[in-house]
Amino acid sequence: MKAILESFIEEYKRFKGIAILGLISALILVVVPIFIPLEKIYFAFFIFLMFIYIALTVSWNIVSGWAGQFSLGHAVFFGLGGYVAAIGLRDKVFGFFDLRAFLLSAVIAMLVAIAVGYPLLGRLRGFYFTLGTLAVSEAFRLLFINGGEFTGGAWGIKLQTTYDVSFYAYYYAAFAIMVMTVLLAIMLRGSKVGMNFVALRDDEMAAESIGINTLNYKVLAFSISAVTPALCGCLFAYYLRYVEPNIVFSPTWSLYPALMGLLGGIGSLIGAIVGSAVVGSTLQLVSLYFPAIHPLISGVLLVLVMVLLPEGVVSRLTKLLRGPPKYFKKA
Amino acid sequence: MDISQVTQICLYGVLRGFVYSTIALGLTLIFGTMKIVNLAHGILCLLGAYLAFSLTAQGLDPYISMPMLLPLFFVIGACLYFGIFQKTRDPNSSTVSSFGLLIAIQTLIQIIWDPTPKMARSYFSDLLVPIGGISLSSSRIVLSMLCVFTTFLVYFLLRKTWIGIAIRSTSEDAETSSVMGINVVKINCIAFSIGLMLACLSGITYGTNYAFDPFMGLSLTFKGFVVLTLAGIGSILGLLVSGPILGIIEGIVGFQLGLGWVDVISFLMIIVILITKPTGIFGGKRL
Repeated sequence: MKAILESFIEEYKRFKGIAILGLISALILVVVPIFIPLEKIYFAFFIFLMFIYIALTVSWNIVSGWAGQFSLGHAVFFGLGGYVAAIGLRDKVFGFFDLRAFLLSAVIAMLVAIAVGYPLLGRLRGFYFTLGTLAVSEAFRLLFINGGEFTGGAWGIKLQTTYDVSFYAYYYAAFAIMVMTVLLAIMLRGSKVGMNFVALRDDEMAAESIGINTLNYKVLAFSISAVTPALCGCLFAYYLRYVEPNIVFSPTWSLYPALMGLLGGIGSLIGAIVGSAVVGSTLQLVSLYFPAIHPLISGVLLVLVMVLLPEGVVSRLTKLLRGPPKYFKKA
Repeated sequence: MDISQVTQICLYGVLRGFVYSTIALGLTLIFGTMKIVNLAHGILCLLGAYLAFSLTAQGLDPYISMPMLLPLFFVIGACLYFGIFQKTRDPNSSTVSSFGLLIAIQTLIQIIWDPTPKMARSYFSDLLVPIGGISLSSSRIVLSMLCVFTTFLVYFLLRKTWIGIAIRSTSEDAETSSVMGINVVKINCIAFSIGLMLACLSGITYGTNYAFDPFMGLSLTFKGFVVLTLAGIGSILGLLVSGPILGIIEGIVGFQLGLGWVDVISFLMIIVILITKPTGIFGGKRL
């Protein structure tokens, strides 16, 4: 406990300005909704989605940015979270908006990540791993389509309930998931585990030679990063009150975090947050004003980001402002 | 399953498998030379199929429109290469940008054509050829044979011609090749464009013989990758074996478990092959 606290203090000293900015904005996001009716404004939904995007991107950054295993498998855990909520409610295991459903989905996601992670991470390197995770996520989508009665097939499951939840609950739940993920990331970054992730990313052989079990650490990073999407999926299912394989296992759930992380600058925590804010708001605006062609624009945006800003916005800005940063930047 | 059903499944699977071989051949050229995992390959095949479909509605048979569409895809390939893939040298960013391309083209297809399943019928589609009690559409046979012929053609191109040797040397070591006087950018562009021409060919073949819809793009790409990894990366003629293997497996799975499971098999197969035998059956060789 003391070590964790010390690592937070260390982080605070290192990034004083950003930490204060973050605390102030968190305070605003907690306090302001109390005074305004959230259900009435579209902007509240926008912020809600932004929380989910930030949480997904920060967790994606743990496995892909820090441990260096570029994953496109977040959709698996997102979908599993959604289905835990839906099946739990249908079979009367959990109630609506049940904390136990969130816990169970996190546990299931971690177990699946370990089961999938050992063979994939043990055998596949680089973009073969990326291809493998994408194949796993598509296989899960098709398995749930063909799952018959248990998964509801391609039609999905409706979360039928008479229990009404105000939008405040969704808002604060999403906020809590985001804050938890960011705190976890900060904690990891200062810890020995996080250092080991970066060591194995930068030079796997050297990391192994100083006694780091690289496979175990890769799987650890993969399973840590699986928890947040499962929680988000659970929350999203409760929000939509409907799950369908093509929605919750959609590859966009693995792709958007990757896009946001890459735009912000892969391997940087602030980059992940800034990237998801920028991309998330752009996507929202596009889908608001051009609903018919919004996937087209997001696809083109993806390509443009990759071509024009390969190293990310934040690192481009910091380079402009004060030269290259030394801490936790990919060499 | 009696013996006539088995032969029918095998025959259909082999003919279908040659289309997968051609998809994988295009992927081999793109992946082998530039290490680009082109996730948009399948949707580009479908783009070819949709263009052929529209031209069929204008009265042009797919056999006639194919020679017109192939040069178009060569140009599209050059544009995509210089616009996108030349600028993203990192494999991760090229994978992500090809995914962006996939989403963009898929939406474009949904806007221009509607998302219902379609088929580009040719004059020969209705000409049935009886083989051992099974009647086959002659279009399937002709186009699948065209795919086989093209594979041999590409093999010959890579082995015997100046361009092919340059492509192979670039795939092995781009830096040294450029020192030896090979224009690497030009060669990469040619390889990418030929890859897209093969995508167009396989797309027209698929679209003339089978029904297609805009959402098949990613699964076609993955079928290509299954065939590619099953044969082993770099083995061109091995694709002609692994393609029909996938076709037959799909036929048996579709017959026994139902059509919904066909795509699951290809996704599971790619994971299993990559984990258990990443070099494939004929693998370990260079392009």
